[in-house]
Amino acid sequence: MLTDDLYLPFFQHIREMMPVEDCIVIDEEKGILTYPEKVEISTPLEMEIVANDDGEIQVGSAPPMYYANTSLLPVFHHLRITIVKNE
Amino acid sequence: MENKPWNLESFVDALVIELDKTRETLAVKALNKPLTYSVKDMALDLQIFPTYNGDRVEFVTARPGEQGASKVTIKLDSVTDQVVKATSKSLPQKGDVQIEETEVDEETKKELRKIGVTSVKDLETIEKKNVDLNKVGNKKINYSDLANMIQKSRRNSASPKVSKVSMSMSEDVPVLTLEGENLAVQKNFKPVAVINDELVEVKSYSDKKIQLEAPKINSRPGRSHQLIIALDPYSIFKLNLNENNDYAGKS
Repeated sequence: MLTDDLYLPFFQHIREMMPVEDCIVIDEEKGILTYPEKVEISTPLEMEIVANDDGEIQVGSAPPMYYANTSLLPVFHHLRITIVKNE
Repeated sequence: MENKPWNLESFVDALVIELDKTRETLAVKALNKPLTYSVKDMALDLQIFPTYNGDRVEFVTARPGEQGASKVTIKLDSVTDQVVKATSKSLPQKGDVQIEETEVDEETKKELRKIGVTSVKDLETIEKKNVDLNKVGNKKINYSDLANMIQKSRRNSASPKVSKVSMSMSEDVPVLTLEGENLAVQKNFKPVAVINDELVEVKSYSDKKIQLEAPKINSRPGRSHQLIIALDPYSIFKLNLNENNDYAGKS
């Protein structure tokens, strides 16, 4: 239902920000494993919120597509998300 | 593309669905990876234009070039199942009549929804606390009309059923016994019965059995008799009794 291909479904956008396990560093020589416990992300984003005739909504989002100072600037919303290690 | 307005409830539902999809993906990842991460909380600052159509507030997403948009922050947190249980309303029980299913007018239904009343049980909870609904709502709610309509709806969902009719003698007086379900359900209302247009004494009554003294039944052997009984203000039925104690009932 999203009309613009440039927007990802919202959950897909969040998922793309979440490969935190790729940030794990293993130093086999010293026997040390380093991993993040918490990641806080604060980012502007562009959003498309589409409502159909039944009132159902689909949310699409994407990071700012460009930062050029154009005459018609896009609307930037803002997302803050906290990602934590599961116990 | 038309920029259609949307309401907050639908937007939060959509966000929750999106977050649930994220959680499901992470749950699958957790099957093979010992170290996993999850979303603890999330906040969205939206640039939108609120509108009010006289009935509810809706929002229109700001578009490029549009100025003067308001900022609305929606914050989603994770809670435990214990917190969900403590802060959620209990699920509707069997036999509890929802206000939406009654014949109450739409305005009254809307006023009741605003104060969190969605079922007869909610209304009874308020009644027990002696709350004056007229002082809580914006418009006048006729509580006695409402209570009557609610009681009538409740009666419809527990309509009386007669499964057996029998005659016996008690101290030389014929006694007519009706057995069934949901008969006399209002403890503070004694049923009223009329046989062949004459008032008869109700000896005993309960939800499963009613006994009537019918002294004049034997004086008309072989003829059919008509019994009309009001179990309560919302339930009246008529039975035609013939010589063999067969009965044809209409309520």
